[in-house]
Amino acid sequence: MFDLLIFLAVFLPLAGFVVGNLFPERYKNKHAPLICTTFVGVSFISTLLLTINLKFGHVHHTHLWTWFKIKNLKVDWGMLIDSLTLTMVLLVTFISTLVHMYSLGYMHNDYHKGKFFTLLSLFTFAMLLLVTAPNLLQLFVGWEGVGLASYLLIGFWYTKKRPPTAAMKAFIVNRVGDVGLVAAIGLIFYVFNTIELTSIFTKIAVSSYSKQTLHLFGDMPAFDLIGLCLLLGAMGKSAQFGLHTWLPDAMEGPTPVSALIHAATMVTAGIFLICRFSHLFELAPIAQTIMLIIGSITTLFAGYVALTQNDIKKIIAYSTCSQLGYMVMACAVSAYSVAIFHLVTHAFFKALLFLGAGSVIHAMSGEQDIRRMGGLYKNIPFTYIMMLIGSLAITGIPIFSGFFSKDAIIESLYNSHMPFSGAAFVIAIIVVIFTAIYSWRLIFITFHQEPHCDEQVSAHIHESPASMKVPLFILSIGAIFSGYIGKKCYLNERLGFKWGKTLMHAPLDHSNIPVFIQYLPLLFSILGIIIAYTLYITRRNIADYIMKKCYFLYKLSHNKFYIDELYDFIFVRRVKFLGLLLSKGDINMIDRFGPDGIASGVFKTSGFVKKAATGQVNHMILAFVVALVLIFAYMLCVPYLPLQLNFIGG
Amino acid sequence: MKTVTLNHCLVLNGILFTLGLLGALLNKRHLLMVLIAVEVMLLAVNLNMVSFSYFLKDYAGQVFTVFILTVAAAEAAIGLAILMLYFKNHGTIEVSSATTLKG
Repeated sequence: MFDLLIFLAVFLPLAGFVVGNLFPERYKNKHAPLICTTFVGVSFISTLLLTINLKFGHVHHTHLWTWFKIKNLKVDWGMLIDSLTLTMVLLVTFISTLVHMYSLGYMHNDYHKGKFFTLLSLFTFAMLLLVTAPNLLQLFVGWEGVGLASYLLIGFWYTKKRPPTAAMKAFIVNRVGDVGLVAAIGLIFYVFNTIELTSIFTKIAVSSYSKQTLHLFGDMPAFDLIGLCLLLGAMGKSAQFGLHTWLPDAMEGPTPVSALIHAATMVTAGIFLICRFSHLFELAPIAQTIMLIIGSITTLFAGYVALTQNDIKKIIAYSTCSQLGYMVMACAVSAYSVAIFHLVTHAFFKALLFLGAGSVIHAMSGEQDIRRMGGLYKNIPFTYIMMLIGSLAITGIPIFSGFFSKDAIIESLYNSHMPFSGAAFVIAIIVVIFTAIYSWRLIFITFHQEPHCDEQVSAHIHESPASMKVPLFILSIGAIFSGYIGKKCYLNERLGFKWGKTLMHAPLDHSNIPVFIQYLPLLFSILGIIIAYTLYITRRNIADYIMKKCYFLYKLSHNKFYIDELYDFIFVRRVKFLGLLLSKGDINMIDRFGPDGIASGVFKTSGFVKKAATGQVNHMILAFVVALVLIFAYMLCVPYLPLQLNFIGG
Repeated sequence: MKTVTLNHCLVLNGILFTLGLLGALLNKRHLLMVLIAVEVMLLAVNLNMVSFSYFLKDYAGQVFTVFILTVAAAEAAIGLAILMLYFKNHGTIEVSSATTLKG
């Protein structure tokens, strides 16, 4: 029963992908969308049944079949179900089901609708494989599967100019992170002599392992080195500063894909990985410090950049980046359960914001620039309310989910005694204002300012169909209530939820936090909203004035700190140059004498041989006789040949 | 008085075979001549067999020759029939005209 449920939950999306692709091309658009949506929906339902039946805090291990066995390394396919995994599976299947439903409306007129849905299912399956993995290799398969599916989906509109480039960028930047993960797997196998997660977790506590040092770049404690490699992997997938460049570009994909990437299936993988190895990170102080620094930089940087972006999806993308920074900061100060809590609430309101943005884009006939929107609240009131709820949640207004999780993160930062945690706390508070400003800037410019669009578009503004409204509505409920329920479950372990040994969990200590600090985030969010209101509604000339006065800062933010240009200069051009150089060698040497050379050689020889075949009877007889003579000569010579090359057996 | 030895026979057979081969190779005129030349080659080989059989006192070779001649007669009949049809279709039996097998 239990095994069957978890099997269904993980493999039904794969079944959707396979069955959808079995349809011939002309039936695919008609049947694949519904089949994939149903399968993912059933997968969610079976996860729900699983949640009801499972005792939290226990670890359930399902073995499917053996993958391979080399000496003492045995790798199985299977599923490991514990509180952390189940949280993720529930989240992934839920968001994915809603995104599937939403796509039924959003991709209605797309020419490759069927393909799109099968790929969405593949994406979901890869993520489920990742989170349920009982060993690191299966986790890696899921990890790469997510990368592949995201590549295919970001580049879905491959006939346009920019999506294929963005897809390529996402794929390549993620490979950099993958190097970290592969190195981590190697090191873990070297240190622990196993890649099974459960045996790794039992071995982490043993001091003979934790005191090991590795001689890689000087002496490093083994756990720190593993932690840093894992962190690099997480940075790639969770778009931390340095490897974040793919995330905003990934907006070239269809909007449901963005929602899926940002809420459930891709960027959460990094946070999940860190939380999976929470016990290891606890014993790796250097890795934790670096994690804190990276998280702080990411959240500050992305929050600042989001202030001046004009593409509606890019604003939300950078906001995701910033929120991921928050989660990494929480992980760094050992508040893993808080990070997971924020991950869950963030998934709800970010999916809501993205799908809402998709609805706006749908209404505006594909326009994404917020400067060409305005005054939309009268035309699309439903979408407006949904976006409002999402923004309230992300800003951290009480009742809404973001309030609970963000507060918990800031309080755990305040409580921490790690190096730099004070600076991280200040950054977190500053970013609260940034978050409020960019979220409400989006709302005010898009929905409240006077319309800036041309008449052709404004005549066509329409509310989205029901298939898009329903997921939005469900997500909005999640965005409102997930904070309250999540706080009870994830932070206080009530409502039957227990972390058990899967996660390093410490209940939040409110006693030594001054009341002033407790209300500081709320104060700052409200301040941020007021600033946004002044700048973009009442005193709009101030925004222009600030822009002109601090032109340098504006330029820096608007151009994303020129990081893309920097990477282009440092890496991309060098690699392209090298690639072109090597391709010359490839074309002129290997191809010329290899495949091409052999092919043209065969053509030349056959052209020459063709002339000998005149079709004249006596020429054929001559060839026959000559061949016979040669064969007899050979047979006679065989005993006297220095080498015994006996083909004929004489 | 000189007696006929195996060597004499073999030289004769060799000459016959070479004549047949050259006839088949060099003849440009008639396909019929090619057929006859091939037949000459076959007979040379048969004669070779008979000579060996005579000088080695093994009569199996002669018996074999009788069989081969029977088969050769059938073969010649087929060859001639093909030639007849070829002439019907092409109106000529010139060797250089048969170039359908050209690559």
